[in-house]
Amino acid sequence: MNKKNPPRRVLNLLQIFCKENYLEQIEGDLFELFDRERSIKKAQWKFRINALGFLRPRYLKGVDDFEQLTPIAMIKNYLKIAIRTLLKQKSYAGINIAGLAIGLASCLLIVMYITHERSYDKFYPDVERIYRVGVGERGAYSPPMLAKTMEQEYSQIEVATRISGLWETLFKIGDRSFMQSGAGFGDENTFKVFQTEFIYGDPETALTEPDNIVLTESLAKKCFPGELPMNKTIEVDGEVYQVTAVVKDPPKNTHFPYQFIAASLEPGHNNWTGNSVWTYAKTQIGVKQEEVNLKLQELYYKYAGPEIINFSGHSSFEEFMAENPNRYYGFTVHPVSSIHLHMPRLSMGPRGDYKNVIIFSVIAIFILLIACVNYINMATARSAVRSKEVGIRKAMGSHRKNIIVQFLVESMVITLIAVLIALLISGASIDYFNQLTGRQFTIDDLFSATNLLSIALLLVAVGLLAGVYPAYIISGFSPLKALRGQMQQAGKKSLRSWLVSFQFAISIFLVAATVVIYQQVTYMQSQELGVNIDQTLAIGNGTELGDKYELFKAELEKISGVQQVAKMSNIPFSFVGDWNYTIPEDNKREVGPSNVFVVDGAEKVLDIEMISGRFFDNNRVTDTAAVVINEALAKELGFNDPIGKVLSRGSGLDFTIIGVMKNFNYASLKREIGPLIYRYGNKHGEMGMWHQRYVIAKVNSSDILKTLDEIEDLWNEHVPNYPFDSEFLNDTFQRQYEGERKFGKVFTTFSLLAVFIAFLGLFALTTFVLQKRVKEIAVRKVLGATVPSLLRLMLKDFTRLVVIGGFVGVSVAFYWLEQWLQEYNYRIELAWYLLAIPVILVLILTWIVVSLKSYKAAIANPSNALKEE
Amino acid sequence: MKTESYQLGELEELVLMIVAILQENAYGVKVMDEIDQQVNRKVNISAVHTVLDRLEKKGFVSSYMGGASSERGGRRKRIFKVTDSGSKAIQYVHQMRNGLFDKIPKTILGFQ
Repeated sequence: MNKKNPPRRVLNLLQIFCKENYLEQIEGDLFELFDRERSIKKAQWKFRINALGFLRPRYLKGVDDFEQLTPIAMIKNYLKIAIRTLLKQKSYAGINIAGLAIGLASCLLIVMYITHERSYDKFYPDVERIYRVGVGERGAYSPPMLAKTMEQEYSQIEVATRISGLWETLFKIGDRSFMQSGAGFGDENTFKVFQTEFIYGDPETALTEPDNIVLTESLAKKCFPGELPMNKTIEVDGEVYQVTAVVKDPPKNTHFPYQFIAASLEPGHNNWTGNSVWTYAKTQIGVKQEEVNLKLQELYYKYAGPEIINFSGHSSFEEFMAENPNRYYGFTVHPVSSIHLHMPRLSMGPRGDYKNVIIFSVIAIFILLIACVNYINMATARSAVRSKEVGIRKAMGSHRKNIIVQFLVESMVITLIAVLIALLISGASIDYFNQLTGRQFTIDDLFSATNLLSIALLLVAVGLLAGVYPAYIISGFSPLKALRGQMQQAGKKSLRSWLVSFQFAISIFLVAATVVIYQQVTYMQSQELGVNIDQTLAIGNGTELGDKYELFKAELEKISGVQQVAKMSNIPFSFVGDWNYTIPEDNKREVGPSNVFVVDGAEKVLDIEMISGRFFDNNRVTDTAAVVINEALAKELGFNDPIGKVLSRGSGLDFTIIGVMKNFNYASLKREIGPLIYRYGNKHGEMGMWHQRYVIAKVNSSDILKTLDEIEDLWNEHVPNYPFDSEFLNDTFQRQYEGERKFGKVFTTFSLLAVFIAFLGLFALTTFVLQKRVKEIAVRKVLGATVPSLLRLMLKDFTRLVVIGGFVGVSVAFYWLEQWLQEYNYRIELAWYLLAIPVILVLILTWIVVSLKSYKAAIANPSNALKEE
Repeated sequence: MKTESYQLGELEELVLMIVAILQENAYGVKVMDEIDQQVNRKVNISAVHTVLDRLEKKGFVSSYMGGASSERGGRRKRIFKVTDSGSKAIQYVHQMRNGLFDKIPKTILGFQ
């Protein structure tokens, strides 16, 4: 017989998996067979085979066996008790679950929103190496030559691309035509930087010919339903393109939501001071952002420098820079994945705001905290009810640990039910939430893997947060007192008071913020703009009119209700480019006002008030070399009388100032009114046909729809191949504040929810406190207390809590709102009453809730309360 | 015949009879060896255990743990013996087999 032992590991395995009462005989037989073999190897090998044979369900440990080792049986009992308790105290459980469910639902939606906001552009391969390149430190646009040049001159750049977009273009396929948004124009490298999945076509050759166009899958289906899109032709804004590839639609979370990319292989111009395109670059692996910035600064000095001094008249670029020490001259790269939240101005798609993400996270946490506080308050307040149960459990041998587990299981059950209801609530309110946030979430997003994970985490976190304190307190009950029938009040009353104050503080903070945000938005919308934009219609795509503008204008003015017509390159409240001008006086300076082309009549359409000089006059030929400036620019120029002074664009392009306009708002009210220059627009000017991008008209008619129809008919008559597109300037103006309005709405919604949950808690707590004090009230009444004095007694406590909470909430709100308002140039003053309103509001609501409950107790017959015992 | 069920699988029947033959000495490995000796058939040890367990659940055998020894890695044996119901089952099966056998025409069995 050999002395070798069978493989240990196999024995261990058997011990783990095999049922206890079978283990010995099995091992014994295996040992016997093992000892029988002569060769050790053979013996061990056979031992393994034989042992493996016992891995049958018959011998495997089952649930029954585990129950003996784990507290599953006990947890089953806890679950049973938890559910019975819930059913027994329906109103209490209902309030708890309702509060938690609403809190969790808001939390779920906000978590989904935050996850989405943070995921932008992360799906691109090598996204950590893809950068957006802009001029200066914050510039969005860049010169068209930049992409090619940086790729050629710096080996650190793997590939760079030039993109312009996203526009709206006119699509013509056969005899079908429609406006298509999401139009991007790119060069052959576009899909090398933004790698994507190609359904048809080859990424290498997709954009190599000037007539190539790459469609997204959904656009391909829209253009050529049921057909193979490859090599089909499409007319885009009059140019004929051939489909060379079809790519997957970009996902929702991108700053570049193109529908198609058409080839635009030639840079529009080759100067380095005109910034007109987006540039993106992918660096080599391991190249640092700062390194690229330094290289690009060299590039700027090399190419843009000479052009700038040529224009400014300095002898060297260094000298020029020395005169403008506060500006950064160079190109700066920004990681693409940070565009959405941190540089939303650079986005071509939905814009995010990291501050909103932070604020929403805070709100979500607040709401959840309020709901948790409700749970803690009610659980400890009601603990007396459970004291007998705890006493008996302890007498039967429960450790404190077991009681804690029991109450945690109970809070988990409540949270689980709340989570399920929260899922229903958030699913049902997803459309409303989409309206609030301006995103397109679907039910699928709610149930995405990451979201489900956060739901699970929330479940555990909330269950523990809400459950730990009550469990700790209740488990500390003395069994002797409990069984003798002595009431044990769990937890300190002061802690409950602090928690309620805390709830009030959060509610008051949220209400205060809501009030102020609303005030600010209203204030901005009602600002005196300095121009009259009422009933002012802006018709877009005026360039399409070409030379027919005069004819169109004449016929437009004949329509009844149309009072005055003019044209301009940029309407107020839309993007306006800055152009540089120098002042060729003795002391040479440079200014960069917003540059707009207009014609005679615009001042009447917009009601522009002149401070000095005059506006343009169509009949004066010399007005093509004239400009009108606003007060802000006049101030910057610093002349005593700016009329007659000259501004120069260089190369002999000089303009004489003929008038100064009163300052009016042409951009956002977030900013101060900046310098503005109006130039006379004609097609030989620097902007060519773009000077008439908009036809503006004052429309004053009793039947506005009929007038609009007539205008549209007229447009279609003159420009049959381009759809009519118009907007009232008032709407353009309002649209600027959509962000603030949505922000306000989100705030209102969630603060209402928070207040609602807090009052649910207050309601339940009042009920409970009254139950506890019912004898006290009765005794007081017997001794002569009146109903009002009893009410005062009850209100006193809660009033104190509201005042303390209000003080904290208002202080925080004041601090935060003061900072928030700094962003706005036109802002309201934080008046004391704006902050007092929420406190008073909450106080009144509290009084109502408490009085309603207390009144019943106060008018009750005291003998009912006192006859027992 | 009683309505009691004596349904036995082929291997169950074999193992039951082997346990009966071995009397007070039947345990896993021994049963396996005995099957090999008596009917020259190799059976897996785990299969023997399974069948013995099944027979015990059906009540045809009963078992107890034997004394400890230094052999078998110090593990005790589980000794099986046939119960009353087990011996009835053996008899029933035997009679049934014999009865059926007698009814088979002699020509088929090739006596003659």
